[in-house]
Amino acid sequence: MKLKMMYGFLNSDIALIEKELEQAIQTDYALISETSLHYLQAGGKRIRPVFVLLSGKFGHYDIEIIKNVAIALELIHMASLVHDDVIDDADTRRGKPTIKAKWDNRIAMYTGDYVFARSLELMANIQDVRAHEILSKTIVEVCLGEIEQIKDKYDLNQNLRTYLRRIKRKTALLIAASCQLGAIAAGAPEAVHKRLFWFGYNVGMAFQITDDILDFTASAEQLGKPAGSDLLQGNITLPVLYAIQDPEMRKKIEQLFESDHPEYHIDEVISHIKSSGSIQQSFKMSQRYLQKALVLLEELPSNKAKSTLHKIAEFIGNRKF
Amino acid sequence: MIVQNIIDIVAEIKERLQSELNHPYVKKFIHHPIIDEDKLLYLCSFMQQASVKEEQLKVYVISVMLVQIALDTHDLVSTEPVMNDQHLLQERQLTVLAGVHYSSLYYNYLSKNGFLQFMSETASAIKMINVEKMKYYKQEFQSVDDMMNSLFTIETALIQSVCSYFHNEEWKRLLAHALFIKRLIHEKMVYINHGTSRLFDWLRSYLSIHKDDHQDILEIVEHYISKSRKIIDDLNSSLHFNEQLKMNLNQLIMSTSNH
Repeated sequence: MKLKMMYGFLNSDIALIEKELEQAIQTDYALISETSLHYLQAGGKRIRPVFVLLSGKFGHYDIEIIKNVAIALELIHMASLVHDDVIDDADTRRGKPTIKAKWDNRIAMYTGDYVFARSLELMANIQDVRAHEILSKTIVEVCLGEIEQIKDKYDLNQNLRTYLRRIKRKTALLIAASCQLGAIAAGAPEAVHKRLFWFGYNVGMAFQITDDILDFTASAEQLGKPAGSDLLQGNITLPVLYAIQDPEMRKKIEQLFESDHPEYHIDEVISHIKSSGSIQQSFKMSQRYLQKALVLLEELPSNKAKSTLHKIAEFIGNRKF
Repeated sequence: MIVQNIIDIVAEIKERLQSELNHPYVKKFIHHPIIDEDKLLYLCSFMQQASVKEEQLKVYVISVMLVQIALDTHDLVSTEPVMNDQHLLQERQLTVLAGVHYSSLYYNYLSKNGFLQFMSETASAIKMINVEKMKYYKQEFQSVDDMMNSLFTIETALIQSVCSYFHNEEWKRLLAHALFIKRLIHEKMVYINHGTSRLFDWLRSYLSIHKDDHQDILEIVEHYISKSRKIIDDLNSSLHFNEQLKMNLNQLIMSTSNH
């Protein structure tokens, strides 16, 4: 079942979000509209807006209010992608040239900052200060996570805790915030929005671990970038952390990092990682987070949104690319 | 309010800002951001005359300064190819992230204090600034006025949004033109010292001025400085300033006749 089919009952609201996302970043200056639309029109799962809308169903769902959070969160995510491509010096995203590649780094910076400001303008329509405290703290943490990621690159001495903290900041917190903010914007009780936060957190952790697994198991075509890209960039992900417990594997990866042409050796290293059992271990860890998310969900009031969140969580945790 | 107070407030805010901007890992790789003390004084003086309570004043000023520094930091992101230069790449990565970090702190400051309407006003200014920065970077202008208006927005939109939030048009004009003069003087000095500046280079190319003809091009910029100086002079008589600001503006005006 495709992800979009799982939330078919939200179709008209998702269509509204999609339309207003485009409108939100239009300006009189054609270039900034073009750069801002560049990623938006490339598609994407829109998983954050979906989480916002579904969580909103646990309160007094008013699309005219909730849409502000849904659009703002997607724009924040988009701004971070634009900036991330400069950070990663990436030329393609989802098979399309990045903004920094099509224009340049400076244009990408201005686009990202513009989109971020636009998201704050939209968020300002939400009067509950808690929503802003949560979101702003999340953005601070996401950024600190990215700084940490750079600091930890090529460091094979980092431990599991460092990795988990990094992916929490990098991915899980924004998904957790999406779930919680939808519920807050809809005026859901505290117990509900806090539970939704932890649901989102666990789904986010499972999502990122799965992403890290796919970097080794999916094809370049499926990923839209070469397999093993994370490792080539020095990012030590969970499969690598498990793999380097074997001294032989650790040595191979050290040699990869020291090589002048690591891209020549990456296929061999990927194949070793795949046969080391570390993919299976990582998958188990991802499943543990997923199970925790599903248990948390159980205690929420029953409605269509709850069963949809269940399906989405399972989809995310078990996706193949 | 006595003069000492504004000096104390500015000093305290500067210290708090410095501590916010101080990320131990980031500072290993990128220059510690420069805090524009004039801007800090302008904001504090404006807030003080608007009778904003001291604790609130600090939140407003720190958040605006943080986002200003965030935007300035992103102007420093290099565009040249990294090739295999890991240090250049790391410096660029952290420049991007430092800017993002400062803007996230701006949002965090305002959120914690529930200043949502203020956030909306300033976010709108940030948006405008980035539109104009892109135009300025691409140098897509139809006239000298267009370019000067763009530079004016880049330099002053944030402080204008602050004054608009407090419904004070006179101070808005005063502070905006003071900042604009500062920027033009800066551009002039860069041009005089290095023989190139984005503003002067565009003016020269747009007006087809010969590269050795410095006077013509300087006169154009001087014309805009004079216009802003006149506005400040006019407002000088109708507004009351603290001694510190009075001295600062006098020095600014004097410096326009020195160059």
